[in-house]
Amino acid sequence: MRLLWLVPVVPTLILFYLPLSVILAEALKGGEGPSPFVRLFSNPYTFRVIGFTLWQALVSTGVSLMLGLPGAWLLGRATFPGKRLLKALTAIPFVLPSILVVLAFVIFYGNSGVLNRFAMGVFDLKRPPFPILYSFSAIVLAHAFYNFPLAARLIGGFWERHNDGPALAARTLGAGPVRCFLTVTLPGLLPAIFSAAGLIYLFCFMSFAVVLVLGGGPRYTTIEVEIYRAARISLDLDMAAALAVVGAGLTLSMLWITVKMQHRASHAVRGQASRRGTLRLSGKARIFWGFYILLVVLVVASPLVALVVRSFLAQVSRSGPLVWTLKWYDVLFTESGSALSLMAVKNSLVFASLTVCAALPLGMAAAWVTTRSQGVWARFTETAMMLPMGVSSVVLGLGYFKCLALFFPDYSGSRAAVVAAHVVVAYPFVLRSVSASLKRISPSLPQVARTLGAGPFQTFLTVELPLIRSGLVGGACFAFALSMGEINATLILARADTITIPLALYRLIGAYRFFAACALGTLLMGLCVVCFLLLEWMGGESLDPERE
Amino acid sequence: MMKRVMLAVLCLCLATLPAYAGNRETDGKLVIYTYDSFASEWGLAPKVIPAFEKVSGLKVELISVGSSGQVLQRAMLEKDHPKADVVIGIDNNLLAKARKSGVLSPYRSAGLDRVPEALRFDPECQVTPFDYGYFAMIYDSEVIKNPPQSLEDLTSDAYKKSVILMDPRTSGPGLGFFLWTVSVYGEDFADYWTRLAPSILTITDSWSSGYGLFTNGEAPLVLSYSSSPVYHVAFEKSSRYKAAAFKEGHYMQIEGAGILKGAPHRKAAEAFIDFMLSETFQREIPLTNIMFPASSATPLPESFSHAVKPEKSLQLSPEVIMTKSEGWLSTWVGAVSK
Repeated sequence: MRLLWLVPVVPTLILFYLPLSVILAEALKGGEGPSPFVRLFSNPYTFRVIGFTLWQALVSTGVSLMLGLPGAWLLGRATFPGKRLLKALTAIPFVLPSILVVLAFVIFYGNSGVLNRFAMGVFDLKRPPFPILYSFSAIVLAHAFYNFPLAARLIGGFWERHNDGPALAARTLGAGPVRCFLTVTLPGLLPAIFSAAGLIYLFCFMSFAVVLVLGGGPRYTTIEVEIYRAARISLDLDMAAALAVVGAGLTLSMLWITVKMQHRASHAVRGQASRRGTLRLSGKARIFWGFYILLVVLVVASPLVALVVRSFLAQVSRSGPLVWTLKWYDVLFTESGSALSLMAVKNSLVFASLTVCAALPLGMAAAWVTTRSQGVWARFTETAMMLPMGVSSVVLGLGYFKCLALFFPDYSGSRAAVVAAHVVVAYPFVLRSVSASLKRISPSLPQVARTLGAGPFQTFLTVELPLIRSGLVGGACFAFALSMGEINATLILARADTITIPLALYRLIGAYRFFAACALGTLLMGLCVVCFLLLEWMGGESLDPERE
Repeated sequence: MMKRVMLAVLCLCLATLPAYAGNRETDGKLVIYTYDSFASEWGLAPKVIPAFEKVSGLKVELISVGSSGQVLQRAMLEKDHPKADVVIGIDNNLLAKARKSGVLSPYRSAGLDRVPEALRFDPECQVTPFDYGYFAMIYDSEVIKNPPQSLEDLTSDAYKKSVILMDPRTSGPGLGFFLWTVSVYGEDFADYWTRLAPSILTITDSWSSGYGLFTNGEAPLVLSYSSSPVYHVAFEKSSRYKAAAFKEGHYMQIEGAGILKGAPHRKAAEAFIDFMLSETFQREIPLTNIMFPASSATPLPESFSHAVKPEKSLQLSPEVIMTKSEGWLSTWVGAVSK
């Protein structure tokens, strides 16, 4: 039991806190001139940037959660054809490098994008009627695009096993459906909601390219922009580290709050583990959900579909119309040899599969130890283990590099290091997606199993694991997606000739081949959907009532 | 269900095993740090590195470390124990920082004689120029019939919300354009940016996203290089995108390479710098890097008639850039955030 603590803590210390502290120590030991913190806080601009970063993350989190709740019900409680596919699609936005997300948004929502051109054509307008992009709401929209499927998935996984007893009792006692939802069901879901909120907040906090491009420029600057500037353009390592410290401090305190709230809201379900049941959609409900799905399609699916469609279109003559073609796919496989794209696909798949294999036990162990112990220490550990998501990968990359130079002077790239780095970024997702469900399990359940003669491992496998399985599958999907889309750590840690799909994508774009990049992005998404479906299948039985 | 999981995991592990077999080691080599689009499959590396290996008999290990800023940063981090011999990608904006950091050691290649005086940007020869280009506004000739002819023209009402720029805090071309406005307007650049603001559709984080927006038709004007139309002519047979020639001149970018102080393979590094200015290397630059080759002896392909080569080129001295640019950028953020 004591030793189990070491399982998640040691890798986190070695893979995250060590490189981080090396780079911070290096940068903050001071050189000539005033301390970077003095330079930072003597400038009112810094406070504006911090304020905006916090504000946009808060608004984006709120919107994502609100959009996500109905989706959570749909994924957790309803049965409809295509549910598995819908579930598999929730992690797709995380796969795409931010530049493709920006392009997808512009292709669909842009001033000369699909939506505006369509409206201009139909209503015969001169100006685009929906100037959605290049404003604060575009930032929120883009963050919702990433995160509301995440919220739906995480909360849905929890809802699936949620006990309806109290809600039914409330209805019997005369509470209306709205009151019943607000006073009984919603408070019951709070642990999962806070769990998702913590992740989403972190994600929006770290957002960078999306905020700058879709927000319309420097009016909307996040801390990450300044970190990037200090680390990559000004080459001011002290400043980058100081900013990273400030950012990490802010994210830590936010995380602490969500972890605390989650603890406060969670309560073990007494007696039986909650019942499971699903509803079949019918009648009026269908219309409501039809609208909801339409909204989902508009926000999430349409930019992605637009991207996919664009990858099949090309102009044949100078100002001629776009025609269907496989030209861009052809570019991928002929221009520099088919071996290259296949290599990228293979590398990406290998990294992602290994990441999932390592992140699952790690995240699960982390969730298990933090739920089974009480008090400040457990909460602190949980917060500390979430931090890898809240530290700029730009700074962390430098830390890795410095560590390698210190401990392995002859390092010339290794695949194991890449996987390790991916695991550190990915397992907080697993931790977060199972911890809420784990906390709900009454301690008496495993105790009964133990009394009946099951060993601790067997108890875990047969009692606890089935109850958190949905969260586990969700966590695995997101871990897979993050690894597939990761680029910074790969670039630093891999051997020079190791290419992955996102790396190839950036290189295509850097060489003017934008539409070939769209084609590769489409390939990447397709590949991920297949893998997500596989993960769902491995996760076990579906919740169709017919199979009960 | 457990069986299925076990089976699937087992299959996965077996499938990934071969990836870990065989990590080869090489000796007697040359190690180069470069920026990603140079090392890319679509960049110069696959065209020139095999040729160099053949003539020199050396094994080249090319390591891509991201952007050109990161190239210098990596060299600075490894200052005490350099692992690389050559760094590629030190441009005129990074030059002063590179010299100040003291990571490079001078080498004067004989090939420098074929490089015009104006391009020899480092009199101490720590950095050897190998190509150059000019920043320019690229316009979509399907939309804009009368292209702008000066920076001032861009502020006109006709280009309201039509210009895509890049952020000088995060992007090289963005910094280039910013310094362009500084070299034209001097200390009054903030006023210019205030006047320019209504024309700007968005300011992107990188050249990639900005140019991507442009090719998707989001705006008819984008900041890029004066040689960008060459790509579209040579590879897409389209002369739709053109570079606008500005009468106040164009800001210049010169890219160079240098040898690290304490380089493990000094002789090989010198041979590589010589090679960079040789005919074999230089003639690949125009259509692969889409830049002008530094050696004046290199003939330009026909498609380069679509690139604007301005009469007047603008540059700020590396020292001025290093000492002043942070302060200028603070002013800039204030001017464009209103």
